[in-house]
Amino acid sequence: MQMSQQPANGESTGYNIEPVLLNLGPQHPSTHGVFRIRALLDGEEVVDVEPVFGYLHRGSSKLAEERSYTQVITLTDRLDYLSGMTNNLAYVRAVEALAGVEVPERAQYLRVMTAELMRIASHLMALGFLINDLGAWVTPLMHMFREREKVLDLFEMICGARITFSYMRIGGVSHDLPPGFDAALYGFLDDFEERVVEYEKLLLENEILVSRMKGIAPLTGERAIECSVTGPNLRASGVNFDLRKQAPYEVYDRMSFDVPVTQNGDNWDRMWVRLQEMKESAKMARQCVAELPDGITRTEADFFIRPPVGEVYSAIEATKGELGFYLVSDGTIAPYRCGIRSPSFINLTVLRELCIGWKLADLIVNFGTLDINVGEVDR
Amino acid sequence: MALFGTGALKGLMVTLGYIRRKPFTTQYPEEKLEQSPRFRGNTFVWYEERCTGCATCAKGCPLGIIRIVTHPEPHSQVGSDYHVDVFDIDTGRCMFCALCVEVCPYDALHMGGDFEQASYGREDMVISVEDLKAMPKKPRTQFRPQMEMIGHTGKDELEEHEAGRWSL
Amino acid sequence: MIAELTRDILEGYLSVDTVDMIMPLLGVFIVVNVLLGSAVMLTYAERRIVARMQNRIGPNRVGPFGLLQGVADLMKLVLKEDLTPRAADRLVFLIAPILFFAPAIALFAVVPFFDGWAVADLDAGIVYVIAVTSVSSVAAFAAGWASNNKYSLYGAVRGVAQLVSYEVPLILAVTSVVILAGSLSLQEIVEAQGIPFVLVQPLGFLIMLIAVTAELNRTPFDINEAESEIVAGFHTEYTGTKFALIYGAEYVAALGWSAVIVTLFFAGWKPDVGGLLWFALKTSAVVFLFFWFRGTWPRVRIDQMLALAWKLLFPLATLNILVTAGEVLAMQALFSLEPGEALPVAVLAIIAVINIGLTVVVLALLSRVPGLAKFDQQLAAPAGARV
Repeated sequence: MQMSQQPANGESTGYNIEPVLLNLGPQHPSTHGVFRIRALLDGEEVVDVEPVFGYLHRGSSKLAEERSYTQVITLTDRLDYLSGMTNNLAYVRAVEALAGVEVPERAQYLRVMTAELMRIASHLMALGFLINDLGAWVTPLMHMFREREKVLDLFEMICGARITFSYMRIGGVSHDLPPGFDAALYGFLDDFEERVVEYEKLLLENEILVSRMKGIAPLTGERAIECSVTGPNLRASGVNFDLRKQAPYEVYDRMSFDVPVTQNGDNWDRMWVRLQEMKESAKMARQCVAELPDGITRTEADFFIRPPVGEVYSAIEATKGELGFYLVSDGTIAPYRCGIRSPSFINLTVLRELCIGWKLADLIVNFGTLDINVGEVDR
Repeated sequence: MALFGTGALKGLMVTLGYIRRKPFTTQYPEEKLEQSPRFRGNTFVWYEERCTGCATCAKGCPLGIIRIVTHPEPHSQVGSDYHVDVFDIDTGRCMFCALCVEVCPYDALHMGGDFEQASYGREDMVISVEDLKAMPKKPRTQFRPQMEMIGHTGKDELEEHEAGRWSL
Repeated sequence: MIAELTRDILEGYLSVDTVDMIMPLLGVFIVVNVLLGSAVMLTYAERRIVARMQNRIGPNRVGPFGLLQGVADLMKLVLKEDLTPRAADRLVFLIAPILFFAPAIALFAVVPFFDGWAVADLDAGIVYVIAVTSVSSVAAFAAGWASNNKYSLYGAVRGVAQLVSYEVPLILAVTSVVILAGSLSLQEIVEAQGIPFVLVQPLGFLIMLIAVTAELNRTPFDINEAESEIVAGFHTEYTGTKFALIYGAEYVAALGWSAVIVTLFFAGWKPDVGGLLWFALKTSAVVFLFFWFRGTWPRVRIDQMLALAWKLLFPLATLNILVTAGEVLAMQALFSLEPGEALPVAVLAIIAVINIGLTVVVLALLSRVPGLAKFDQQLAAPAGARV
């Protein structure tokens, strides 16, 4: 990494040169919500970066303490509002572990399928906004929005909502598949595989994009592990760690899928890993529907379930990384404590060191490739 | 032999190809997207005859925005002796999670599919019991798989004996 | 013909001297108004075209097919409150948009729309074009400086760096055309094009296109108003009519530069198949090219952009001039032509073949240059990637 130059000595030139403090956000076109970056700039070069957040803080953890276990599911939709399904899944898995509820096999398949479709939708957004940050006048973003709409249409078929799903339930899922879903899913997946080829043409071969992404802001695997970075950002740095493989939950052990891993950990790799993960997710969704067993989709758990006194930490591989819920039960209908390990928040740890020494334009792109969701950062 | 700039040209070809294609946009006020039968809209469908005034929906609501006041009075519903006086649902704070629909033991409350309920004030967004009675009885099949079994798609009106898990 | 008819009508009412005075003004009036009208329509056209590239429909509500969208936008901007930041340098803040707009219009003074139809056919027309358009960099800097905003300042400084750098390859690319045509007058450059110079000067055309895109602050070189980085760059603080001027000036300038490109490389009004319409069509095609870039490509970074100008375009343009000059001299010697005489089509065809070959070789070599090689390699999978 190119080190930043110290500002020239004021006495020698007669000018007092000092770095500029530029506030990017909270109202800024590329802060993905209400995020603020205080950047200290020496000309175009970034000297220091301080992420300032909390503008979207809603106190999810505290709100959870006065809601019953089932009602908290609606809060988890709003953590990372681009991937509600995986948030639902992480939470209900924690409650199930706490209360010892069994999940029917069919429900497990449905959970995996929706989580993987969600991963496609979330990665589409990550890539689309990333390219938008790079300055393409929202063309790739619009193309990706279109595919995401189709995913959301599928979710609307399943659970009636497009963003705030509340689909998972303690002991299963709330709905079985509606009639005609298989055809709709296959239609989407067939189309999606064509579209991915188009994205690759549009993105991966463009000289401008390559020069903007390749070799920019590399993150080493060791440093990523030190900073607890998870998800695609970690796998781009050469660490093959994916909870779906390492600690399979639901029916991931029956899924045949590969985990894309790259070695450089630069912006390009972070983008590439996401693009490949979408393909793998599409494969898994197809497999889930093909192998879907018959049976019930939900074991009867009480709406106001009272798990035994105890505590549990349960994590899944959400779209942005390891999403964990730490629940403490005191035997009442509401959790005593609901801690959330949100991947976006922890992945932010490396933002500062990724940006220092690079240009202002790179700062925006680094922020984009880290794939932050402010709803999840602030909780 | 790869020429410098061919990658960028490929991208240009992709976007050029899209000029010929039909736009994906839906022209909203004129055209509307087809909603799924399970769509959770901004309205509620309430079958007065099925409701016993038990207020389970109010308990199930994560936000506590349902207010129910009843008084004892003989009722058409078997086993119910309560008449519902107030049934306020503050849709200005509602997040349409449909947990109230899920917990209703008598299948009296359903989600409706209408989503054009904009108003100029928050007080106008409270659905009162009169509004509930007046709303078209077009329940969505959210949490009501039995409706899907009889082929209901949420577009037609359903009588109260068709809407439940068992007929009265 | 229309000009003569107008003159006849006017002479019925006014003295000959007055008509002599009015006629050029009338011409300027018409050209300026047509330009402003087209700029308004261009904003609409860009939004529609890019929308279709994005699989959307674009503005289609105001008027039939949304044709009045530009008018509605303009009305809205003009009627909007005109805000000046408290800390701004008021005078410069006011002058900058005008300074930005004026050269964009003045550019059209020398462009020959048709045989002999130019507001002023200067002998050194192309020099005038370059001189006038470089004023816009001053205007952009003035706007950014006067706003007293950090984003604006960044935009302003970036803009100056960009415009100053890209003037050089731009002028060099134009020079090679001038060498071929043997004249600085745009009128004569058009007449010299037995074959459109885009075929004779493919490398020059590419350099010109890139440089003009940068000169116009359009994607992929829109770094001085880079939305995702510095909000709106030098015009962050502008609202209302002043913003309309800046916004409009960009489209007028795009139109102007497209007209210049058509004049220099696409044989202007020649061949005469549709008169003015033919020229307008060609210009629209070049403008479409800018829209197309904007609809597809991301932005380059400032240092990459400057490196592109100085390390790639500058040497290439110099090479192009040397080669072109050598070719012209050789052809003059071979076919015993007088210096300054227009080159016959056959000679142009020979030069075209040589230059197209040269361009292909240069592009192929560029994809192998180590510094640029990362542009071309490992497009599918990064090194060490495993799935």
